[in-house]
Parts: sequence; structure tokens; C-alpha cells
Amino acid sequence: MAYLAEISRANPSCFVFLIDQSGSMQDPFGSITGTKTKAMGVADAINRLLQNLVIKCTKSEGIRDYYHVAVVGYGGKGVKPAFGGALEGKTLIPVSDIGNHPFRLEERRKKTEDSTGAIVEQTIKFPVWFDPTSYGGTPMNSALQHATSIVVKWLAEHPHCFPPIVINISDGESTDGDPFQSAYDLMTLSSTDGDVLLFNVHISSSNHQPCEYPDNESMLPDQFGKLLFSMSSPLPDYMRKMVGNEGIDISYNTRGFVFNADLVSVIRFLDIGTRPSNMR
Amino acid sequence: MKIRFQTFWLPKRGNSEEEYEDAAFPMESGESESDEFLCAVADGATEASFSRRWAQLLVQGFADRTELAELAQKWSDEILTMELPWYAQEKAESGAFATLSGLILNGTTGTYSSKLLGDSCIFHIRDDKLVESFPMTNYESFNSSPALLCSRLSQHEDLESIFSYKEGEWISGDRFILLTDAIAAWIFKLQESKGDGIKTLIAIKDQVQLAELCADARATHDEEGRPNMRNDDVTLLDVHVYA
Repeated sequence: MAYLAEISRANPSCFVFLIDQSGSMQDPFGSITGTKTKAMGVADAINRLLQNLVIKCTKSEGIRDYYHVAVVGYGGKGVKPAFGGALEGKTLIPVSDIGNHPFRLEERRKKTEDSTGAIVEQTIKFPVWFDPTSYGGTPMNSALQHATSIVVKWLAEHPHCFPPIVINISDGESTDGDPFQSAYDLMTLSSTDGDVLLFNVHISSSNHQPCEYPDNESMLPDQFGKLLFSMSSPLPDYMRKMVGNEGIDISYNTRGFVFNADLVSVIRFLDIGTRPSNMR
Repeated sequence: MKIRFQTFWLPKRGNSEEEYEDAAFPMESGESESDEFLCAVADGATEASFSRRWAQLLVQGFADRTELAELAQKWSDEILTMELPWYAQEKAESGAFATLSGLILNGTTGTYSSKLLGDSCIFHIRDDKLVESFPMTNYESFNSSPALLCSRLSQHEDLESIFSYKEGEWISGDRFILLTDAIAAWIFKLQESKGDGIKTLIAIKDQVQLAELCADARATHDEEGRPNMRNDDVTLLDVHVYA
């Protein structure tokens, strides 16, 4: 049975996030999120995700390196690491480095409960690792190949790890060729605990209802949606349960894919896709 | 009433002793003679930070009959006043979490009472046989999200209702063995599959023996590929009671 490997400091796992930074990402999300551009929404979601990941790995003595993380942008400037500041240019980074080197630490106001349950306003620190950018085409094919090179190296060094999870977030079709073969090459890599998981989030400027976690391609409106479905891994058992707990219908064919995602479903997808199964 | 007690424990495989997040009271072995004896085990949640300290406060507080509000305030005073980096501060602010199983033996009435939250377990043994276990009664009843007590008590709508209570009688020579979840689940699994779980449990006489058993159970797997014992902190508090 796969996807049971313990995630520990001695046997860490990895996440690779591929972020579309093409010109169309400067269009706004659907009406739910008002004027925020897709690039801004995704940057916020990724920064929040990295923050949550760092906090999940935090123990009394500091951050434990349960994961290594890569955030790769792809757009008119090619395919390259998307971190800013001290981490600029670095590809796969232990989560402790991420926690200790945010690009900047913004202060935001947040309403919270104090120890007696009363609502108080508090200043919280909001770490930022990468800023929105949007320009040029969508070299998704090259981005997937880049992810493959990162994961191949990782698996050679960590053959028994919980399988790496790659999440590709994009709003459009690949402009550097059909990405299916590159995706297939990536999805068929494996550790002794199971195949690499490739999940896709297609984000939308329209107000169409998101199609979350489909289990067959007939639910999707066009060829592009069907292509992304075919490039998405079936969910492992523990994730199927999480998705089911969110009230979404699931089957054994349910895939890690959202089509026409709004910001809410992007955030939910990232949360489920990165929730640990067996962290020690 | 005479009591003989001993506590054995070990951290998760791959972790140091400083990273052990269960707690027991008493933590050492010994004997006592009194009309009343209080003991407890607690399992600090791995997902939170500073859970070890919360678990320690809970078992000590149970034995001292300290109010939960006072324990929570103590945890907060110790932890939230520390100078911490942004991530440690944010994590600590969401509180620490732990289970609790506490047992009170009364020598005058020959009765016991217990206060229980989560999946840390008490086995009542008589003549080397299981009288009953509580709050967990079988392997299936364990899952990955047990009820936990948060150091931010306001997280609980009705604090008293989250605990369950169990009372009963003991006779001279009975044993009560308090266990945290990983070893308790393994004992149930052994009992249900081979019928020798209780026999294995009552034969554990020292720390070395516990460590060997756990190392073996963590390294071997069932037919579904899962380790026979989950790699978790392990605590065993063995109490012998005599009239």
C-alpha cells in the first residue's frame, strides 16, 4: 500500500509549486474576488501556504525540516525559481530556510480571541516570499520538465520518501508545445512509497462554477480541461478522505485537479494538497 | 493501601529524549502507603508546539488537583512571554494540545475513579487477566484525531463535558496500567489477532524490555503494510495496589 511513508527529518519529502506568470495572469479573478488580479491572488495564496507549511513544521525548538520546497515561476522570462530576497535563485529549499528568510515581514491587523475568549485586534506578522509578476507566454511544457529534473535529483537522494507532490497553477494553455508527455514523465517517477503526485489548478477570470476534483473527463467543458485532467494524478486514499470530508463527491478515479478555480478553491486545493499524512 | 508504581517511556524512533512529548505522574518508580493515590498519563500532540510542557502540567495538575484554568494560565505565562521568531510565536498562540487519563485509587472505600479525555488508556488487570479497559476498548476505536485538551481553554465550549469519567472497585493485588495511544493500540491489536496482548503487556518489567518490544513492533508491518506499532512516543505507568 502506497503513500504510507513517515515524513520525518531523517526521511523528508518535497513539494514543487509551478506558478504561471504569463501576461494573462494580470487579469482579475472572477467577480468573487473583485479587482485582485490572478497573479496577486496566487501570490497571496502561495505566501499563505508557505507560512502555514513553516508553522506546521515548527516545534518548540524551531523548524523541523520535514519538507524541502521549490517555487518555480514560468512566463515570458522563462522558467526560474520565484523566491525573492535571500532565497533568490535557489531551487529546492529546506522549510527551515524558508521560515528564517522571508523576503519581507509585513505587519497586518487581525481580529483574534484572547485567553478569556474576548475579541481583540492584534498585529500579526505576514511573511512574504514572492511577489506577483505577469508577462509573456505560458511555457508549461518547460516548467514540467524543470520540475522533473528537480524531482529526479530528489528521488535519487531520498528513494524511500513520501512521494513528492508537484502542484501546477495556471490560467491558460501551454505556449511551448503539448505538455502531456512531460507531465506523464513526471507522474510516472516514484519512490518506494508510490508515484510522484502531479496536481493541476486551472484558474479562471470567468464566473463559471469551479469543477473541483473531477473523476472523469466528461465533466469538463473542452479539450484543454480534458488535457489537464489527463495530466493530474488520482488522489491517494488519505487525500480522498480529506476531499470527502469537505463535502465533495469522490470516487477511486478522483483526480487532483480543479478547473475554473476561483481564489477560494485555489486556497482549499493548496491546503488539501499539502496537508501531511504521517508527519513525525 | 500500599502502592507500587513504575513508569517506562521512550520517544519516537529517530527523536531525542528531549523531544518526547508524553508525560506521566509519577514519572519515576517507587512505593507509597496512603489512603489515596493519584496518577496520570498525557500525550502531547505532535502537531502543536510546546505540547510537552502542557502534558507535564496536566499530569502534575491532576495529581495536585489544580484547576485547569490555573494550569492553562501557567502554560501561557511560561510560553507566550518568551522571545520567539514569527513562526514559533504564531504556532504557540494557537495553543498546545494533549490527551489526559487520570486515575484516583481510594484505599478506604476500595474504589477507583478516573478522568479521561482522548485515547490514552487505562487497563485494569486482575489475576493477569483484563478486567476492562477505558476509555478505549478495541483496536478499531483508535484514529488519527483523538479528542485533545487545548491550553487555550476558550477553544472548548463546555470544558467539563469534554471529559468522561469511570468508576469501579479494586481488590488487593489488582494492577492498573496507564498507556498512551500507540502502545495501547498495539496491545489491542495483539490481543485481537493472537490473543497475547495482555500477556505481553503485563510481562513488561523494565525500560530495556519496553524499548526492545517497541523497536520490533515499529519495524515490522501488518498485511496492509502499516507498522505494527505507530512510531509515536510511548508511556507505560504500571500501578500495583494492595489492601
